[in-house]
Amino acid sequence: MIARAGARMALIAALVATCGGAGDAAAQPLDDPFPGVARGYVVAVDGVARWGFAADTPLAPASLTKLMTALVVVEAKRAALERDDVTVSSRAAAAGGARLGLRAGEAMRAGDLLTAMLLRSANDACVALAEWTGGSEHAFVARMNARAAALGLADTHFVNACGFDAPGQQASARDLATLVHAFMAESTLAARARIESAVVRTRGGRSMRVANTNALLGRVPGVIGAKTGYTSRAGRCLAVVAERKGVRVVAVLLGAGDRWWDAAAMIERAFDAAR
Amino acid sequence: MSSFAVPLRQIVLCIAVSSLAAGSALAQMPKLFTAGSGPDELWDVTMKMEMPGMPMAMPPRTSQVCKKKAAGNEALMKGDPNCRMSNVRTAGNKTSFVFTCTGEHAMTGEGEITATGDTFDSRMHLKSTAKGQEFEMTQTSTGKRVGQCTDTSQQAIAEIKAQAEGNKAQACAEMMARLEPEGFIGAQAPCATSRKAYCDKVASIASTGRTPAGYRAATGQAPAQTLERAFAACGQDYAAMRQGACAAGVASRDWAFVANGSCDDDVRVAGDANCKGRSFTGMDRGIAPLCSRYASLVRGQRAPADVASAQPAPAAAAQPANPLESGVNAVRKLLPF
Repeated sequence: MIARAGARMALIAALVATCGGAGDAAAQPLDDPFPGVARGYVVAVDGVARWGFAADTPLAPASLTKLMTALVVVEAKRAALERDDVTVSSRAAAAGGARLGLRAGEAMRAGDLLTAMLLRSANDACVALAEWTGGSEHAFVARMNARAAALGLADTHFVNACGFDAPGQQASARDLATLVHAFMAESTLAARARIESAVVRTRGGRSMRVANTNALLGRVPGVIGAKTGYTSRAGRCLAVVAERKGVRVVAVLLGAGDRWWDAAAMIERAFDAAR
Repeated sequence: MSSFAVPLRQIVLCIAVSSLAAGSALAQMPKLFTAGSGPDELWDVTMKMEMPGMPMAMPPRTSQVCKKKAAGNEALMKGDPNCRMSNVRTAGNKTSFVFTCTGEHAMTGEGEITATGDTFDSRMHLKSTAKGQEFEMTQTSTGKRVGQCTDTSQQAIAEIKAQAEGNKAQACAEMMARLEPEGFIGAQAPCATSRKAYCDKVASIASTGRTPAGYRAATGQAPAQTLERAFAACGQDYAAMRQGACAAGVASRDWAFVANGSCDDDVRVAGDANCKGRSFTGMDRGIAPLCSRYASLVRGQRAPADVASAQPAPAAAAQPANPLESGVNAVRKLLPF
């Protein structure tokens, strides 16, 4: 009887702790003027979340993961990016999904790998950068999680560097919007995120053109970057940043039905609301 | 009135001007005198003001005053026409008096001054009302003649007036550039004399603003809300100008202009014709601003049926039916890009 009462007390304590752990931000409901557009989304104007749905729900982030990958790489290897070559491991060369087609043993300037990872979402470039920065992808992922914690991303956790579907690979739309701000604050990342296409070269002389997968660039006025993502579990994902007349809009959609049209609509409406 | 009141009043006026000159608002005021030589008298004056009820006493302030050598007592008496001195009594070096001022700064008070040719000591006590509340103030001053000077206050006043006129002209020019109607319209408008020029300018904008380039130029000069107020103040039709510019934008397919948020009625019509049902990624970039704006008008806060009507064809429909390629695509779907 005493044991049962103790267990009940423990359960209540756990429930209270869990509810408290949801955080103040999560307790703030957001308006949802775009019902049904995504499994989770958030639209922030000048850093303040204005609209959203399931904004704090951890979901599969697909290649939006690479926003964090890029941030950790730049913060750790800023000085070496345009100086050092990275030799591609067989593990990196075997990465699936979107890729550059790098071969094991080939070398490429780290900055070019970063460009390829951000524009084409190349997973071989992503793994190569993670291994170069962290010694191994596993060690690099630990750094990603530490950086997420430092940013206060309570609903975010990574188990791989590039966004492959896996249990525990998750992020909320609101966390990703926060991550986008940190990403864009790095000038070398912000500059790459707005490039529509680029040519990258291996040290052996192979050159490859990479086109940015962000279809909003050059189409929606004011769009200056950020990243796309897709996996079967995550669905179509998008993080996008737009600026007009000093106002910055960030939209993050996870599991979106029609990310381009809906993101374009969100951006236009957000700027209208900010007028 | 005793002739002794003349230097008193002159000094008091000089103190007032000197106090103003010391104020930070007039920090760039032209110099009121040059010290060292000249026909006038240079005095060191220390003034202290006390108001009952003030938590902290104001510190005494010392300044130099150039007292103009009077051409005649009558000329010096042309002081504030709203103030009258009465009951002036002189005994030896000491003079006492009562004064009453009417008008905006009405006050009453009495004072006394003890003066030799080279020094003075004065005390004045006044009562007045500010914002419905009575207050009292006591001012004590001591002065000592310390040398000669040349009073240049008249030139200074002329310079200040010229500067004020210049500032006003500059402010009016800036308000004209920004098209602010408050500067020109209304009895209290500071630049009311330029009202015609202002409304001529607004009329010119109303005429040239019926094209995208003209409308852009107009909204580049002033925000749309300011333009609307300017048009209303000068009897022009802002909506007609905007609609004209939007129609011209549609006709010239200037989609960047049409999508700027001022032409949403036209965006709906043009968007139905040019954007509805299109693939976003297959869309011509030139028309993309129109379609983005159109999307913002037809998507969100809408019924699901409306979504479908505005949705482009799903990408999957364009996929090849080749079994091998389908298999590759199925594998790709497991992987991120």
